[in-house]
Amino acid sequence: MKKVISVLCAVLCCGVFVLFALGSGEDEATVSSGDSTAAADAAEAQTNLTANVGDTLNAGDLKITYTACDVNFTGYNEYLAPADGNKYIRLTFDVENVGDVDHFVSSWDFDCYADDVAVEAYYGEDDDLSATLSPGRKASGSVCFEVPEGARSIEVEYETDFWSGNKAIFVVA
Amino acid sequence: MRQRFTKSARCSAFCFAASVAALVCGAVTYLLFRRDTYLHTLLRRVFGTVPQALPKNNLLAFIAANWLGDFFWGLALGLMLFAVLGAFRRRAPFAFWGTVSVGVVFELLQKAGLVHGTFDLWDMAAEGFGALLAVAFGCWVQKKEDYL
Repeated sequence: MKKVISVLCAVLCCGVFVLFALGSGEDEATVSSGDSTAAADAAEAQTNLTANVGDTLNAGDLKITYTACDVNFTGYNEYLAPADGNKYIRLTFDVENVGDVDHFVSSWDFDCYADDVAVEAYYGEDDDLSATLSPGRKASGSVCFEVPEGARSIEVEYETDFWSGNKAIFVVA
Repeated sequence: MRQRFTKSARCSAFCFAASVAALVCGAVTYLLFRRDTYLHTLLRRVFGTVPQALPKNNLLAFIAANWLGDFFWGLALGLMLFAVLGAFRRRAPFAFWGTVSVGVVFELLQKAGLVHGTFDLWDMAAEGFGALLAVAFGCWVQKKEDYL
């Protein structure tokens, strides 16, 4: 009986230490841009990374390039017009899987906040971002949100790490 | 007090305490040299800030940043296994090989991409060295108890 308890305790210890090892995992997301100072500052901040149009977010196995931003998107479906006082914004991304396993990326991975208030996404476009990427594959697509016309700050967040909750912020110019 | 607890229990308790100390040392190493572990996330949520990472611009700092944490992990697990297995010298090989096995399996899982991290042979070497030191220390503690 004592032996069984010892063995069980030993197995439990190993399990706990495996959790410690998992918790020490460092999978930093970074933003690369033309401004090396900004990139270095972002890397040092290590909390919320900020990306502007033209920047590339390196989040683990995914490389997300922020290619374009339309702050007043008007090419929407006429039957899905924004509510009065609102407008649509549209961000376009190129995504590349630089890892060794498949990854799914979609517009559901992004959240938008206008003046720190969460806003609804708009899914009426044909090029809505949604793809399961094999290693080495790329995809392009857009994400759209309905925001108040008078919103002073609009930020689109992408969670770079599920476990730590770290987010990257795509700035809406 | 000494008569209330067997020699084995005293040795186990000592090794357990040493294991906790090794874990604390490993945590401090990560705090000093790494920037974005889950420990940092926890500290940010509790205290709102984390210490600035030390620069890794010399060999010692480079070794500490990359492998000291793994060494303390191996040391802590080796001591903990030695403690739970009764702190007997004849159980030392189990503690050592148990630690090495867990370390090797974890590194292989990293290589397979199933867990976060980078496969590194030097990580395994650091963990093995920690395990070796752990059982050596545990056996030394037990031997000291023989003479007390």
